Amino acid sequence: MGVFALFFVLSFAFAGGEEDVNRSITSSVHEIKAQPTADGRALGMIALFERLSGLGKDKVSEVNNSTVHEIASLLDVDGDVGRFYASKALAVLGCRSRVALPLLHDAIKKTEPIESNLGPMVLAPAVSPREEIEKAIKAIEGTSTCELPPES
Amino acid sequence: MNAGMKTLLVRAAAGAALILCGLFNQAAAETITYIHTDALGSPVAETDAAGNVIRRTVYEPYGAVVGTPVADGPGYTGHVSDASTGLSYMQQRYMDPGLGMFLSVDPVSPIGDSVGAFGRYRYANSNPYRYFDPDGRRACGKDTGCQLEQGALGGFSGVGRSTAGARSTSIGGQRLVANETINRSAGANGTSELVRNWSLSQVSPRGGAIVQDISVTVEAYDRAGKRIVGLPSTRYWEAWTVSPGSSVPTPYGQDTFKVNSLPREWHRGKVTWSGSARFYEGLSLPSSFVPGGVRSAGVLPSTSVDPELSTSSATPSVDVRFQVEWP
Repeated sequence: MGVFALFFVLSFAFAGGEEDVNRSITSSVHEIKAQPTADGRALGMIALFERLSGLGKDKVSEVNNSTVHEIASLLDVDGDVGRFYASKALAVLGCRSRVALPLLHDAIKKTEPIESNLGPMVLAPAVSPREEIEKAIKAIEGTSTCELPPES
Repeated sequence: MNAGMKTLLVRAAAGAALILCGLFNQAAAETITYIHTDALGSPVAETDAAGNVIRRTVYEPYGAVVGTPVADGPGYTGHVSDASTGLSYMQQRYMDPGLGMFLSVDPVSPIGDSVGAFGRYRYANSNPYRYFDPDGRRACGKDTGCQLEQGALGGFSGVGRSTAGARSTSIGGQRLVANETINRSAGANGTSELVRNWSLSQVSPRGGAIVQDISVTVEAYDRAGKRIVGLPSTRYWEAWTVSPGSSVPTPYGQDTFKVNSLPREWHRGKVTWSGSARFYEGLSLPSSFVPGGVRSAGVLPSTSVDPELSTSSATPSVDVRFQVEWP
């Protein structure tokens, strides 16, 4: 039931055009952390990532440092699972996530590299939290510097 | 001896004479011709043993030959051309290069994940530079998924098709859904990456697991064009677990097909992932599935030993195929 309530909150929070995107994301992160089970938290992080992926450029540009820090705090939730989904969510925000770069660099030290060699060729593993963190760092560093709005 | 038998014997004798004649001529003057194709498989040039170009063929976007008459044999996108009609035979249907359309209706039932799939005579998603049609039933392209999937949902039955995008297969109302994204040039040597996220169309009361049987094969050539032999291949099974009362695998639902790095001496080649996946309702993963058991599966539960799962309560399989080529 808790998970359904979380989905409802996430859907409602992001659907309203007038809704403050920072407040919505922050409350979603709090809801995710409040979930009693790892399954519920994983589902919440999946939903958060999907909703962030659906944000328009104008909404993404409204995301501030404080909100990015909230998302980045998921890097410490449930080990690799949190690192996996938080990285994906931060990557979606591109240069807006620049303030989270040190946390991503810290997170990468906590993940095991998975070498998927096929002879002399290296393939990407199907799921690798470390690869997602590396992708996020690349996505954030690869975007041009963007002016962040003043802290609310 | 009746007339029919007589005709048969005459034809057999004539055939034998032709074969002998052919063998004699071949022995007398054997010529070697190399056929070169473009990215879609259309033969665009022929060269002799010395490397001289002896014939070039230019095609309009939908396969009409420019400047020369259509010849019988392999033609546009590798399909057999018919010189007498100018049509391209694509196994399931004939395609008219002049019209850029098939002459008969698509044998595949329309599906809802692409509006274009309702164009029942349309060739290659109306995008002949990017896609080709291997058998008259589906649009495929370089670095795109290209698969037919078995499905039965709410009375719909038959074969669906897709490239990248959303696709699904089902049984008893439950559908296994794959949402796929292709990231161009994300891999080594400009190859593409396919990221797929699995989900179910509805909540699974008992939960279970999505299990994928996947094989990876490699074909590569050195700078001189010589095929590199002894390349490795692998086959493994990886799983995504679905908790009771959920429709989304947790903690992960992702799969990734991507080449991170290639040996420098592999000048040209391709990597192919192929296999199939099913959702097994109520399945508890066998103990052979271990998180990180197979490196290619990453942190997913995986095994390199065939689990020989019963399909009695599984969805029909979704065919999985992805191929990248370089350069």
